[in-house]
Amino acid sequence: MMQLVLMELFKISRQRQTYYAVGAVLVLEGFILMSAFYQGREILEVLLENLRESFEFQGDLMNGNLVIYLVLNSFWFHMPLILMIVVSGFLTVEYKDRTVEATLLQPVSRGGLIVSKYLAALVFTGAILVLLAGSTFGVSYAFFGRGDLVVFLDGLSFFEHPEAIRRLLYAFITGSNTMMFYAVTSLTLAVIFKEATVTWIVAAIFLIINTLLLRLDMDSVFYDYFFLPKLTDSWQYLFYSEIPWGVILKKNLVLWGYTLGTAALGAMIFVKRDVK
Amino acid sequence: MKRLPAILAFLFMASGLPAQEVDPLLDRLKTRLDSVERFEARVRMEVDVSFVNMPVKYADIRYERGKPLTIASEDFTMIPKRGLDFTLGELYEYPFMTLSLGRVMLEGKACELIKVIPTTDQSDYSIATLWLDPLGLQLLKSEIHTRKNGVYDITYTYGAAGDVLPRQIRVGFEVSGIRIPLRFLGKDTQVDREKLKAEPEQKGAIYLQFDQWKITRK
Repeated sequence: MMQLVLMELFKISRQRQTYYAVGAVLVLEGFILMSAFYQGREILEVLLENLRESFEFQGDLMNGNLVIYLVLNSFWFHMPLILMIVVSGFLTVEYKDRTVEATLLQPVSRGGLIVSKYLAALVFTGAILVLLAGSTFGVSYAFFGRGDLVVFLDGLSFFEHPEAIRRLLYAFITGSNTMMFYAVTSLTLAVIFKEATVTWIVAAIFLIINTLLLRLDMDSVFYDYFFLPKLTDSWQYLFYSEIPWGVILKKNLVLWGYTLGTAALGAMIFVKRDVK
Repeated sequence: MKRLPAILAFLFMASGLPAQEVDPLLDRLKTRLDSVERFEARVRMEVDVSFVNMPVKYADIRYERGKPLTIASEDFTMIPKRGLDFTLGELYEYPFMTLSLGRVMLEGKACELIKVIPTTDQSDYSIATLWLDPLGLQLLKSEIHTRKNGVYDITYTYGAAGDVLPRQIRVGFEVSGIRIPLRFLGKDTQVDREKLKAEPEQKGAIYLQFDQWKITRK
């Protein structure tokens, strides 16, 4: 299995689209960073408007930590979109080039091949997230400095710099579970649809619907803990003054259940269906 | 509104209460506070506003007569606009008249209650009420109605009877809820505009605790 995964990763590293994706991710990150910086001042003005009547403020809240937080807010829609397009390509390109058939002529099981693709997709997603986190933290602190983080969640919460770093890092780690889910889903969609354009369109629609449904609230524990769109925002809970670790853990476990279920569905279809 | 101080002064005078240019007790307190040439202290600040979660902050304050008070901190800090006028400089900045309302009890202590009414529109408060300890010559409480920023309710706690500067200050103020633009992303960030309109002003407070006082007096 390790050999197959390494082979898949080697193929990914040789594909031109991988580097386009990395480039796109970094360009997008640059735009998001700039917009976060300009948006940040305006947001601070609004957040602190009423307190300004009673207080004078010392220190600058428009710093790297706020920029990273605003970037995080934007990441979870744009980045899955790019990831889904690239990761689904791991399979759709092979269907198009008929290299899947060639690979299966080798002593490789269908199950082994598709599982290795899922594992390679997870490794690729993890690598992109490490790159994103590293560059976001590096650029934000280098250009915008350090300081307290202010967040509006159930009121205004202020976090001192060391606490802000800790929470932002955890947010990246927690958010990566959502990215992993979307990566796996896109590969399953590639298994189902085979054709790149159809897969992209369905993946994009899936992402958009999920994002829209995330904002829909219902007074139901089942809805909050088991309805897929509501599981993709657990990173935000890290910015409550008291972190609800239990909620985050439950949501992520259920999300991983969806991830494994989606992968199992894709693997099952791939194994049972004729390659042609 | 601009004539409010004059009307109040007239009403107080008409009611037979003793209105005077400046109450002698207040003047004695001011003279005592003016004896402070400079001071510095470490201040612990704790914000108590229902919609604000802020860790306790620390800062260094420094004052030198004739210069504005400076507050230095490595962290982001919220400094109350009122409550740090240790020498009553803001109260005395523009002409005013006082009205003595006699002796009242404040937390078991006999105080002189004095109304301070500015006689000019330049002042940024419309009326202030002071609770003065005539024996210790200390300001124990003040209630300041500002022209723009609502009412401030400030209480002072001293370490000892003879202390010139307080150990603790509680600054109470009015604050309205936060208006968040819809495009500001955050979990469950939604704005109920009707509710916001109907929402009354909330009470908030900041607690200041001073340590390591270094006071130089004349």
